[in-house]
Amino acid sequence: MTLAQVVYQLSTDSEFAARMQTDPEGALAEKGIQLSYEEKAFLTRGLRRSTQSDGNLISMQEVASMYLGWR
Amino acid sequence: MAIDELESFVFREYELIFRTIQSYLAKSSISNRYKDEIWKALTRLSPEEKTISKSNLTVLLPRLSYQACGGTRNFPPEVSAAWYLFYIAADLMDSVQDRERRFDLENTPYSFSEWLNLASSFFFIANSLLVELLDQNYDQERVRSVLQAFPTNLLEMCEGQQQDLSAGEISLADYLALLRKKSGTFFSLACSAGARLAGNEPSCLEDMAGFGAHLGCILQILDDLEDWHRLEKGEAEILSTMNWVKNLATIYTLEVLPSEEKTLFRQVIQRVINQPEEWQTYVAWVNRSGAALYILTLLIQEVESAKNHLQNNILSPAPKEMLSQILNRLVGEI
Repeated sequence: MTLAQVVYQLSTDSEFAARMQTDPEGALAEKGIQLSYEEKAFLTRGLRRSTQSDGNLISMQEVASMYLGWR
Repeated sequence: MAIDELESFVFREYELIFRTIQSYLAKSSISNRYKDEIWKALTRLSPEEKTISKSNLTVLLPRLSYQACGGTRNFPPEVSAAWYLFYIAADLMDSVQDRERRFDLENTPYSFSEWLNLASSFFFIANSLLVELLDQNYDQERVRSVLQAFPTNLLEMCEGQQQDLSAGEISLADYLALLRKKSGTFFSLACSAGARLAGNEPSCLEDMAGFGAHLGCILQILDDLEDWHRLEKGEAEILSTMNWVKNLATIYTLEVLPSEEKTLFRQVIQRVINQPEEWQTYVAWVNRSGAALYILTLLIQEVESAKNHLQNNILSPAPKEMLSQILNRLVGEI
């Protein structure tokens, strides 16, 4: 499974997403997903950065706003 | 390093670049009228001191890479000037090809065809500036290496652009490869050109080229995000020019959706191409697919990979720190 497909699973399965926050190794193993060490590290950081206090993922608009004005 | 200090370096680099181009034009055989047109076009496309933005920091890449790889004598401004001219020309041609309104080209005394001709002039001036280095007191072997690197990298970038312009729906892997071929190659050139002049130390050259390649990908991702921001503001111009099929968020979404939903999403895209005012339906699909998390993860991956290339102990500390600052200014703490 590619990183993109794992991200899709996270966005459609809130339990999986919540488990990834606390136990990424266990959550991935349970689903039979294998990612490289780097991919796991990047995804965990991405998830931390993009999860709101209510557990929902941020939108494209919110990511876009983070980097506004670079040009 | 204080932000102001970095900006003053950028402004100084722009001054040097402009002076270098000006002295080339002064001795060129073209008419004063055409020199004047080239100059006006160049200044119109370049930032003013007060408007220097984060992306303008990239103008420092050739010089900093030279210094990072141990270059000690004066860095030839011709290299920065040539790279900058190629940058402006490529950006200009891209804007004309995509009918973007970023440069507001429609409200200038020139037609699109004239702008393309001016872009060609920038290319030839850039090339001449590089060739002139052969007559100066620099290591000839290193200069030749830079002279070869420019067309090789630029041709690769053109290949990427051609693929981008001609391809329809593409896979995520192909899009990422395109990103590296276009933007990655171009910024890799900025850094590797400086490193080559410093002395062809292989690991240093490799790290500078790698840093530039990842920085280029970061800039392209930020560019996609900027389009997104304008889209969600409902800006009419982005709605009419948006390439709904070929942006990272769409390509990711098409990649990950199960086949039935993929068919439905393709129908949404077709509808929004014909009726851009229905963009909110498209946005809802993209957001549901988790595109924001994917793009953020990709950005983190590119930033970390760029940082890794700066870990080389051979690199000189001060320019290394400035390259790191440029990265931080672009993406902040990620």
